[in-house]
Amino acid sequence: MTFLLVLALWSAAFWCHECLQPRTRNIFPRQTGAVSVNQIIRALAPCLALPLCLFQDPALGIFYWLGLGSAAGLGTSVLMAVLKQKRGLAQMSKPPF
Amino acid sequence: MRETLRVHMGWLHSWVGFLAGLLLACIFASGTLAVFDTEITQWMQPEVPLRQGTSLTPTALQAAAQAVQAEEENGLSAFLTLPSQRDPVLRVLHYDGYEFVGTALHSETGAVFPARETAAGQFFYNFHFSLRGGNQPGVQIVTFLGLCLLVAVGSGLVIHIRALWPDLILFRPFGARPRAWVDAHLIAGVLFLPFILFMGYTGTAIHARALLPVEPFFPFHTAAKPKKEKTAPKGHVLQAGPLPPPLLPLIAQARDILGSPEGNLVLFTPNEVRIFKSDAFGPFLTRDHVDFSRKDGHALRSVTQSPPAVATMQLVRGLHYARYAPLPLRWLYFLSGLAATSLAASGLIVFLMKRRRSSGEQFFFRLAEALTMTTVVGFPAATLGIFWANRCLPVALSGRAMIEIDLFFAVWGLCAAHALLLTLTRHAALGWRQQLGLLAGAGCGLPLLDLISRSHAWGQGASIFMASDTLAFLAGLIALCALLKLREPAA
Repeated sequence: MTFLLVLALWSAAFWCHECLQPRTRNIFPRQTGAVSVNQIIRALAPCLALPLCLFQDPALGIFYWLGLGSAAGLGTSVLMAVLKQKRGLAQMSKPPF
Repeated sequence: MRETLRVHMGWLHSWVGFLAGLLLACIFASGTLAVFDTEITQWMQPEVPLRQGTSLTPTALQAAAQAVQAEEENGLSAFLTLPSQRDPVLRVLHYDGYEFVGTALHSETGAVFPARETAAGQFFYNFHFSLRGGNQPGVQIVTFLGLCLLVAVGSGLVIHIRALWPDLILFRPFGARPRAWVDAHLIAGVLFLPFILFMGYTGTAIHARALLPVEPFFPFHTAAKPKKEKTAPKGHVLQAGPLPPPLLPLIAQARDILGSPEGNLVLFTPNEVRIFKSDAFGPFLTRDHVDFSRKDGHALRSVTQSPPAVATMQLVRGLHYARYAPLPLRWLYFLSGLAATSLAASGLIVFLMKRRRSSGEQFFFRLAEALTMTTVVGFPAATLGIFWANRCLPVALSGRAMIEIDLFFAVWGLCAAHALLLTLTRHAALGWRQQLGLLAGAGCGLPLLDLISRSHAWGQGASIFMASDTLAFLAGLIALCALLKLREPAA
């Protein structure tokens, strides 16, 4: 349960991070307040996840925190790519080389 | 100035990354499998039931001690691994020059399980750190590749540093093909950077002496060497010792001192019985042990303290080997290992894509493509081949473990020959499709083979069989998707 929560917190942080990038912000316009909320979640969610991991396992918590963070980042990036594809925005990218 | 640095780093990253990546991808993949080496061995020995407890009886230990003595009479240095939650079997093992192999005994009755000979879980572990090439040159090559990995990661960071933060989770799999592969390379590299750096550094540090030996390079400058005592080669003994005293009280005493209630190692010398702390209790790979006389069982000494420098190295080893890790953390190691493998594999493919237009007709490009195919598709196909061999070869076949490993190298070698033949005759795309087809068939077919072989009951240890079969099926499915994608025209 704790690990699911940590995963969710990391995912929220990555999601907000991507929403704050100009390429995504231009695609999904938000209100001004939403930007601040995104910034706060991006900063606080991983900080909140760390004590949760350490509380669950003081010796190995840092490894869970890093590992779950990587897994959440991977999951969020794939989800974001699929959502962008659904909206037909996948081509809005920099040239490959 | 900064752009010049990026260009130079780009060159370094491309070439070091590609040349080292051909083997690093295999090292990452085998290391990923080695995280579950015990479970792979259990999958490969379905005759060994996994529903026993970790309790031991004097009868079982007596049988194990007799088996150890019998091995010693054959010149082999055997040892015991006591049952643990992860592997609830009493095992009598010896080192065969590459892997630890031996028999499995019931932890209460001492009866030997008629398990098929296999070395697979251990094989991947051995391959990971030595490419099955022994200390020289195997470990030396792997350690050197570890250094190359650190160089490639460092130069990759310099190239990507400006886009690191904004493109942290940017992935465009539906975009143009080169872009999608670059994104996959970056996502795997950036998100799993702590793991990759950590494993690269610890892996190199563990075997650093393979590259920087303690002995000076120029022995003529040193004083005359002291005369060496006659020692047995690794895994062998010069003479068998007496039958050890009853082991159960010694184990109980050692467990109290070591704070290690299960899964200990018991080693035997002609005069001593050494009981080691299990690696599962804490991230330090301590090798703490309590020694007893082999004649009468009285306690000789206990070694439970390590100086700080040694303890640091124990931590480095412990964190790299992950034997301490509980199941969820082991899965995270596994996932991170897969990401590292994807990083290396996608890097190889990006290298080829960037050069195909300018150098696609050159011999060396086609050779590079053949080698990439051998690594990216051939290695997983050979890995699945060892699983197929395990189920298809007769259970009682003598020298079975070696035949499985020979088949692994045969399949890998055939994949290499096939890749070379087709790329050098300008049929690389056909080569990719055929090998991906083979991989898809081997992966998707493995669960079916496991089912129809009826080698085990699904009631016990079901999670191990189901997880292994599912992962093989997923590997096959990914290969199938790649095959279908290859049939589409490039975006």
